Amino acid sequence: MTRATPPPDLPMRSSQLPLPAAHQLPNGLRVLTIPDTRAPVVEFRLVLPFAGRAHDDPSWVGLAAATARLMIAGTPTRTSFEIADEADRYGGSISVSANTETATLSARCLSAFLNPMTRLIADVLQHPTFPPDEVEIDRSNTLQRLRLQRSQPAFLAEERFRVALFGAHPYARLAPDENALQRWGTDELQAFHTARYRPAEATLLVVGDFDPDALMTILSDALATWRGTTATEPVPAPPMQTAEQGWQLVPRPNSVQSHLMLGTLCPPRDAPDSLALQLAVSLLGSGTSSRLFLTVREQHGYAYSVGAHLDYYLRISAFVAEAQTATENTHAAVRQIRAEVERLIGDPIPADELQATQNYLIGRHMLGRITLGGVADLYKQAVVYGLPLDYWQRYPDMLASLTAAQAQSAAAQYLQPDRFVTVVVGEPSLG
Amino acid sequence: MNPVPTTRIEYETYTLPNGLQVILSPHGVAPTVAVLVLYKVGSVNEPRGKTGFAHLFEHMMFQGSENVPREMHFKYVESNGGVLNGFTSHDLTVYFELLPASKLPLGLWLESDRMRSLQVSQENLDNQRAVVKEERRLSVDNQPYARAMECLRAIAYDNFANQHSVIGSMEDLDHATLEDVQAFFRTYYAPNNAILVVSGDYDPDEARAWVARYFADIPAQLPPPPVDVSEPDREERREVFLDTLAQVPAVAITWKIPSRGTLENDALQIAGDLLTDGRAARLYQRLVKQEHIAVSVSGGAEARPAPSLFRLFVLHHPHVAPTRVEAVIYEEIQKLAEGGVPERELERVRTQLLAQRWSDNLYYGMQSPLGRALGLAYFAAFEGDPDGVNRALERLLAITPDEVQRAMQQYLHTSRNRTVMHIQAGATQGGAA
Repeated sequence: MTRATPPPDLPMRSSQLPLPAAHQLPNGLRVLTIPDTRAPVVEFRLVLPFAGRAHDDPSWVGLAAATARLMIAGTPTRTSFEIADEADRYGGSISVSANTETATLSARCLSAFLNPMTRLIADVLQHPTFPPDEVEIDRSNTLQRLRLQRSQPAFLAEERFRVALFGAHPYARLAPDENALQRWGTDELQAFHTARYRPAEATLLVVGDFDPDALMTILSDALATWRGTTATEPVPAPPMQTAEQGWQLVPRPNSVQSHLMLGTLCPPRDAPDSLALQLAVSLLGSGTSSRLFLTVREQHGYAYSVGAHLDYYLRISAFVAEAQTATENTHAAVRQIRAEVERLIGDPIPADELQATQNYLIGRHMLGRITLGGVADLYKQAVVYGLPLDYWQRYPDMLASLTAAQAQSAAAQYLQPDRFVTVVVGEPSLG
Repeated sequence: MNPVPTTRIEYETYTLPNGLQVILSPHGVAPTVAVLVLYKVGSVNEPRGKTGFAHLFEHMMFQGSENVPREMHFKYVESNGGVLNGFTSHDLTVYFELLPASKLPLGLWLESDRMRSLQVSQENLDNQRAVVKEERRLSVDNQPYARAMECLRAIAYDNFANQHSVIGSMEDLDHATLEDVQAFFRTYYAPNNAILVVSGDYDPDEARAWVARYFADIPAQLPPPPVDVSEPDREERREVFLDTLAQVPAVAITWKIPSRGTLENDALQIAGDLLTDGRAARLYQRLVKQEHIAVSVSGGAEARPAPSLFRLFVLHHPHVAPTRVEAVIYEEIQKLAEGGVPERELERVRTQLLAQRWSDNLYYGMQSPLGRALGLAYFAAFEGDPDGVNRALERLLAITPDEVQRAMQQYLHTSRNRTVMHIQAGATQGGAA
């Protein structure tokens, strides 16, 4: 018996990710159900494709996010307290949030409360009243939260980075416009809800321990009066070139560390070479055996947290390399990150490193299947990005079939460091 | 009558001759295993001048051992489709791998190799010291409120063991030596000071054989010296902290309360939920919704195996005096402590406790093999019995309104052992470009 080498594997155990069953309500709402009895819980994800921040009118930036936040602020039959209290009593939670293009209602409950929770969701979805006193509280708290966010390096970096990537395009929006925030009231919120929280284009995903027939019966009844389609134009096509490049400093007095974001624009998730690019970016900066982790952190000690990833938007993606480093190491860390990108596109990728990254990505994906919420979120991604519903079934094989040449060529095509924008949040003197 | 069963976490436990406690908890809902090792050492074990050492040492555990060279721990795990991490708290240090079920032997091999034969060099120590300093800057020195919280802890407690932060001071990190690392390893990283948990989809007979093969001949060490974590009673302390990174003022309050495993700590867990858990909670409703003076409310009772803190943290509007925020908080505590706890509110909290057990958080919930492993390990380490993980929920659900009221009267409706900090927002406006 030796301890000098790693032990052999036990036999593989496989698992199948179940495919959802698709149903449709008369009002057009698509319902995807995945019964899963591993926990006595039900997870709900409702995707509203035209209710995200990019759909705000330019003079009302922030209204989409406010509408989402205030969806749970009251209905004709429930106060905000009653909505929160009920959700708690069902062993769950309910919230609505606006993302870049979509808005999502997320809820969960203990299985025993499937019926009342579904009815609570239906009430919130169809009959929000946006009470004036709740709108006022949200307005003043949002202003304070903005001040809080703008004291945090990560938020300042993200805000500046998006403007550098997207310029005037709506994808640049992260925070509300403070002027618009002062103006909107119940009427504007109602109007946004009426126009954009409609069933015809929406998808409801339900994962967990429930009977699909019973669920469909409840939904047919509870959502019977929800009607309509969203008359909307899609968000204009985003630019393919970043609006700005080079060094962009966000001065933050009293900083003892620089928050770095380097990046550029890349093709969307449904592009043919998107997965090859994801593989290359992961090899560069995902996990503790990635190149950025092993050089920037383990070799040089420049950062505790360093990595790279792709941020997916509906019709584009953004490559991001991110690290936080002591003020005096700012330039050295940026140089090291760029050098690793150069190496990725310049030197052949060793076969074992490629294989290791493929295994890592597949393994991490498998961990996403462990919980019911994880399964719900996988399918939510498929819905949001318009991926085929069997995408995650095929994902491991698609990843495993990619070659080093494909990964490298995708990296070389999209990750040219001379086109990067480099956002630095830190000491004013770093400009 | 509860609408869902409080499902047990099944397990078996035994101790190897070298003192290593082993807990096996097979559970076949996903083809994954969690391998977890808990060492009973944390920042409470650090003497003056060595703050941050337990956490710095945790970093050293990834720097190589006899058969696993530097960087290879990460690579073995990730290239086999797993994830890994470690964390240090005041009272413990935990390492884990979450792996495909077929890689169970690999996880045990990796953990045993570093328990047996950690190898460290001056170069690796210097590198990880730099990394930990960046971690300190990231999580404390460059963040609003974080330095205030570190300072609050130091004045909330009276015993040095409890006072200092896990991340430690820059100065003390500078003084850590290779000899310190080696001595710490010998004293605290012995099998008799550790708990190994394997949870997930595997055959327990097979696991027992691999555990014996890799861990049985790691020699035991003398038990580590005990630490005195006791806390004296004292009068209220107050502090004003000017935070040059913050733009929104805050009030933070703590009370010293009894340790986990006591009826009082359990009752105060419930009190914390009544006051701060979610948008239906009393302090959120009063401070945010009725008085319009706060932006957010958070807090609750810690459950340390030592005198713990009941904490409240309220971000408030700049035009409101912090003493006004305090007064409202004390009023809400008084209402429950003197007027009693309505059964209906307690029922809401009980249902949430049940639901949290099924949380899909990989670290906490029963849905995840890692969540199950951590639960078993904590109770084995802190309360001497892994079955506590099963009894704890029953215990909490059985807490009566009277018990909550009495605990609040004794520990929260008083200025005794209280620490109050007003955090002033000292950042100049306009960091944003």
